[in-house]
Amino acid sequence: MQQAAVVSKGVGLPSLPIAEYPGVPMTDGSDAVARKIEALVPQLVAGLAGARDVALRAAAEPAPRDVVHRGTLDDIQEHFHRNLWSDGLPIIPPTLTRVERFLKHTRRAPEEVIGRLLPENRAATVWSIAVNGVMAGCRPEYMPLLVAIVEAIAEPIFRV
Amino acid sequence: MMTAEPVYDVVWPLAPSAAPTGKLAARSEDLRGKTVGELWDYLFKGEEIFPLIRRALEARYPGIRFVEFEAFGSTHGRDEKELAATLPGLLRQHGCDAVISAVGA
Repeated sequence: MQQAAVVSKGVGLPSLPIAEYPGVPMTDGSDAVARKIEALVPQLVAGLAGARDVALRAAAEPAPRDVVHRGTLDDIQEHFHRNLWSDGLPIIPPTLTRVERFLKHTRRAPEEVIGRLLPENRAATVWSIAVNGVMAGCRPEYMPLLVAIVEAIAEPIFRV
Repeated sequence: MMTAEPVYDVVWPLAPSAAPTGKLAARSEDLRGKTVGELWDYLFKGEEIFPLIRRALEARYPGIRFVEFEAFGSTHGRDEKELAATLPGLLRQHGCDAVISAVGA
């Protein structure tokens, strides 16, 4: 469900109606599937008939160098996990000092956009690659390789 | 002896959004007599779920018609880009007023 909402936002349709099947159809028997689909009909009808664009005010997003959180290692893990900013694995806290250490290993400008990445359709910048490299526990000298990897996965032929 | 745990000031790990701005297609207020297209990725029991949806909507909206998922093919896999490119024409060709897409998990 979260993935569907993220994708619809990423393709520019944040108001796209989504009917949510409760649970996992693959593990439900035929009777349960039939019962749940019947219960889902009002959501389906609301999506098919009468759904309207809802004006969503985009929340202001931080600038690259803004400090967005301050805390201990455990606080940082929890904050990033809660905001879906990590894949759930432990991260190295991305401090300005650590990010700048990565940037010393590339001649490319921090604001340069390397590509657009799904599902959120965000512009991957040299800066954001460095931040994520820090979080993943890479060594700073890996930076040119990290940029090359993002360039490769931003190509339309690369599909996940 | 206790030592103070380090505290870190951290930056945002995301990057600016490059999402386009789109608008939902106009919806019919009433589904009676309308045509609904089915798009499926051929995963997650769509072959069981779409017929249930059809029956439930047919019972509520007389004259509602469905263009079944077989008319479009899988929306996922090797040919998905080709399908996406031809989809607007296919939906027009079949006279679809609305679409149910992505039955998934």
